[in-house]
Amino acid sequence: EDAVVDRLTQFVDQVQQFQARFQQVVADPEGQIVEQAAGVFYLSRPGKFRWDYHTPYAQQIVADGQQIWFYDEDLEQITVKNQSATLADTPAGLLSGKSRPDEAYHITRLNSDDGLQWVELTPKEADANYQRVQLGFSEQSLQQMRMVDAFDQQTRLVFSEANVNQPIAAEKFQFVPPQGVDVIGESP
Amino acid sequence: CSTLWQSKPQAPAETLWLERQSQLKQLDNWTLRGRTAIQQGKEGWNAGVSWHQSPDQFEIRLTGPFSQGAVNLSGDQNAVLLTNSSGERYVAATPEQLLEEVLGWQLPISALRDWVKGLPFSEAAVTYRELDRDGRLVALEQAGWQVSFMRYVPFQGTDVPDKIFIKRDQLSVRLVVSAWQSE
Repeated sequence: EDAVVDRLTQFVDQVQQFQARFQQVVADPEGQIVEQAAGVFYLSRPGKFRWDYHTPYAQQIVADGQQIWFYDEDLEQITVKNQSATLADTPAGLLSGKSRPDEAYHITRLNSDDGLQWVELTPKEADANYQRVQLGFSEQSLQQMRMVDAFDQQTRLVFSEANVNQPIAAEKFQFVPPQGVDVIGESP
Repeated sequence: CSTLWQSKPQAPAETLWLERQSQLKQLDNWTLRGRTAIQQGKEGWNAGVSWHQSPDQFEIRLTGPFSQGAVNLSGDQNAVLLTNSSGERYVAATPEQLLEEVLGWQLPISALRDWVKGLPFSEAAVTYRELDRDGRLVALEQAGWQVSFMRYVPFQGTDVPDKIFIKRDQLSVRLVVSAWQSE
């Protein structure tokens, strides 16, 4: 295969810890932006990650290796789910993946864009939750991620100030429910 | 001596409430975007919501985190269609029936259509109602549902809720609206 897929394999094989700021833009099928959010993403492979959304709302999604905790502060509710069941074929699962991407995805190379080299992954499993994921790599590491769901809604993530393989505190991947907030779902 | 301007006495909440009701009833072409957390017994879901409502049609899209696991519900008075992220399509007479049969959720969509605007559900009796000083609904009970209107935002010359908690027995629906739009 070629450089880009090597970068994906390189990322999968060599990146154990990854931390970066992210900007998330969600656009409808006509390209109209419906939401812009920002926060920090933490990854500890295999199996652990955390999305801290700071704006426009406060939300934390924490995968501790067994479960995924989803806390939306304004909704004042925490939902907890078994990680493997929930994560099966999601982009987040792909990044933190215990399995290799080529097991679950057809991988093709795209032309470079935004100065990045791109690869597209389409789920092998027909009824996956989304049509395709595109990953954009710079020399250093993963820089962009684009997901298109079943209704052609596009979510685009741009990572910046990335730290690759720098230690991340273990607490980042442990979720402790704040006092007085309902926890819904199978919690230990 | 200086005369102290006597501020117009605050109209009683009930009068303001009547005015608001007529304004809100005219608001029949709107779109809202927000987030919801649904709890049914021990199970919970979080989803992004986009809801476009016009006098005789609606379209509701629920998307899971990272826009996956989307569900689209659209319809009019006589039929409702649900499409899920695998492209499967289901049809029924009412949105309630569809969500129950396909997803196992008992969501009072028709009632929500009025509640999200800060109005009682037009097709059920009101067993409890509480207004704030400005004549806005604070709490409501209808058909066994307890509806709490936690926060309002100005919109189209009146106020609409942007945080609503709804509960009945084992079922709870929480909705936060990040954007209201009207055509």
